[in-house]
Amino acid sequence: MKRSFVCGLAISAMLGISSLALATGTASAAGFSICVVHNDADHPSITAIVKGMNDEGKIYGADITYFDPAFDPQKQVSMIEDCVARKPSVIVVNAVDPAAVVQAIKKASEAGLPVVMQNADTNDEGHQYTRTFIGSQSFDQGYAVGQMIVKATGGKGNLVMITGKPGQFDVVQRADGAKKAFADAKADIKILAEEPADWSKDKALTVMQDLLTRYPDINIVFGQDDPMALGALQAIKASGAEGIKVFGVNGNKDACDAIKAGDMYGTAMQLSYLVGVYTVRAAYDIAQGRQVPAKILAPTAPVTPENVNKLYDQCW
Amino acid sequence: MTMTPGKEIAKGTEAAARGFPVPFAHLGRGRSGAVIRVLRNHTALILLVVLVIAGGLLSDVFLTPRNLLNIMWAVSILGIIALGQTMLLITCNFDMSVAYVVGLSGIITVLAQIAGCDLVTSMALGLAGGMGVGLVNGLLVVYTGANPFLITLGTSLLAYSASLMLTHSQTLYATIPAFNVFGRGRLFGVVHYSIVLALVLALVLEFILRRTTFGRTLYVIGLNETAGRMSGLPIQRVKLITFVLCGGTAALAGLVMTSRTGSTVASAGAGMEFDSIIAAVLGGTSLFGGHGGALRTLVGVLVLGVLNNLLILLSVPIEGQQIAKGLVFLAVVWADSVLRHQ
Repeated sequence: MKRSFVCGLAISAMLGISSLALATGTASAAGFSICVVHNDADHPSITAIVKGMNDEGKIYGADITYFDPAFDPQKQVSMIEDCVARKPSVIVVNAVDPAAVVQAIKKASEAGLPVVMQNADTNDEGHQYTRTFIGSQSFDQGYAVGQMIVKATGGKGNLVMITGKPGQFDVVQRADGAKKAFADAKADIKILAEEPADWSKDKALTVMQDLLTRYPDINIVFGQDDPMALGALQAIKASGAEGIKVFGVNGNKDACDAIKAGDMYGTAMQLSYLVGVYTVRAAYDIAQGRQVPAKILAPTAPVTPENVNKLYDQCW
Repeated sequence: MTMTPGKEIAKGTEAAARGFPVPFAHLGRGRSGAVIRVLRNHTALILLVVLVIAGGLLSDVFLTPRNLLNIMWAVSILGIIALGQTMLLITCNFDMSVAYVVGLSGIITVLAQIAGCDLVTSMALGLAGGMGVGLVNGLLVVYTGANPFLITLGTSLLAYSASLMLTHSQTLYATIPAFNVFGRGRLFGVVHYSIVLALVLALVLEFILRRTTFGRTLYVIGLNETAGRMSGLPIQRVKLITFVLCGGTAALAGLVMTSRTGSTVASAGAGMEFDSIIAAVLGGTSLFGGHGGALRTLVGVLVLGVLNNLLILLSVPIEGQQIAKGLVFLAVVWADSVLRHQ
């Protein structure tokens, strides 16, 4: 029915707009202001970035506004356009899709607003419109885990990889990084399977269950982020299997606890807090008219049972 | 409960009048079509049997008790959500907010525990939160007459925002160890509690659907709401209660999931709104309302679980997995329209 359709659309639009209004920050005034468009705010690494930005922003008196398109590339484009309309000092974008953002950052650049890529970069075509990229390199994270695996297993073993959403940049890069580490060490590590669990702890649990059924001789599990690694760990515990070494990426508090307890054997700590800090510093430099390097990388710290006590405070 | 043939024939002639050439719809009429009718009326069960036999033949670990229990444990959460969704689908309504209610209820429960509430109170608060969202859905749909699909999409955004605000986008951890037993423990050390919960819930809802006036009213609303209203049935109240029920089952599933993984995530239930509808339709619930059952929905959920399990056991490449799931969905929707347009 036409009336109920229009009515329903209006109501859901009102609910949607009111919820977005609740979730975003205040509008920026004059002075040093930054407009940030996330890729998906509901992830611990983004929370850490935001904390880094807010803490560093206090030093410079920055007025920071955040938008969250929840992994929708089209929403991100319209949010970037909203940022352009607000005329901030700098626009920060964490690309959902490297190609889809290009049109929006082009508009921002043409409006005379500097654009900075954070955490997930745009493609080569987009680079002509951006000043710098600040983030961690997922390839390096994968490589660090690969090295940890080789060291912990003497370079031999049967490995299963539990990945994020198929086709995503981080997924491909972390896998490639680990494989390169194995190749460089000339390790004899057999990759039995790479199954997606879409960054979900619960999905990783059920996927790991099935992998354990399929391959009774697994000794290494590489979860492409800590929530998935911990989900896999639960499946392993529930099945009673022993001697399986689990590795993750992120450096989350619960993963560090698991390493301390001897349940996990390593995680590649993403220093996302530093990504936030460096972003604000770079934005400030750009707003002052200074040059910034084309790439600013936050380091990746491998956390192992040997050094976990030293690095524990940095786990997030 | 037997449906009057008049309604189905009426829908068939309506389809014929519109000139829809629904493939194979001409089969299954009359005495010779009896076998085909049996096949159609029990599509999910037959599909399940076929998949199980194929699985047993293609993989030597598929039919082990451990694997079968794993499958049931994996889908028990979706099963609980699908059961609530089935009740709504029978009345020709949808609840697209279940996915974010799953996350929200888990978050409420854990926050309550962190604030010092005991186990039972925290779980009651989580359930109440989900039922509250269901109430909002029901009130909006019943009193504005608007499209439930769109309304519940709107409330899902509200629920998601509430989740993000309550947690400041942090991950929260349950503080009462006994809570984890709910999602991870096993009855007699063998069958997981969540499987038992899903089964018991299905039996209770099946009884309600078949043997109570409330249950029968759901079918009436789905088949012919006007006739139901004119015979004096409390249509508005029943719809409202069903929306609250659906929110409640989503909340229950959220509690199980949070206790299973030990931590909260606002988007924990992502995708489950569609999966629950697919499972219900697979089990014989019609998207056009008026048909469906609780136990049959569990069969649909099992089909999805077996499918997921086999895709990994048989090492099907990732692209093949998506194609397989897409084909199952299309086949199910086609079978549903064939069955309803007889």
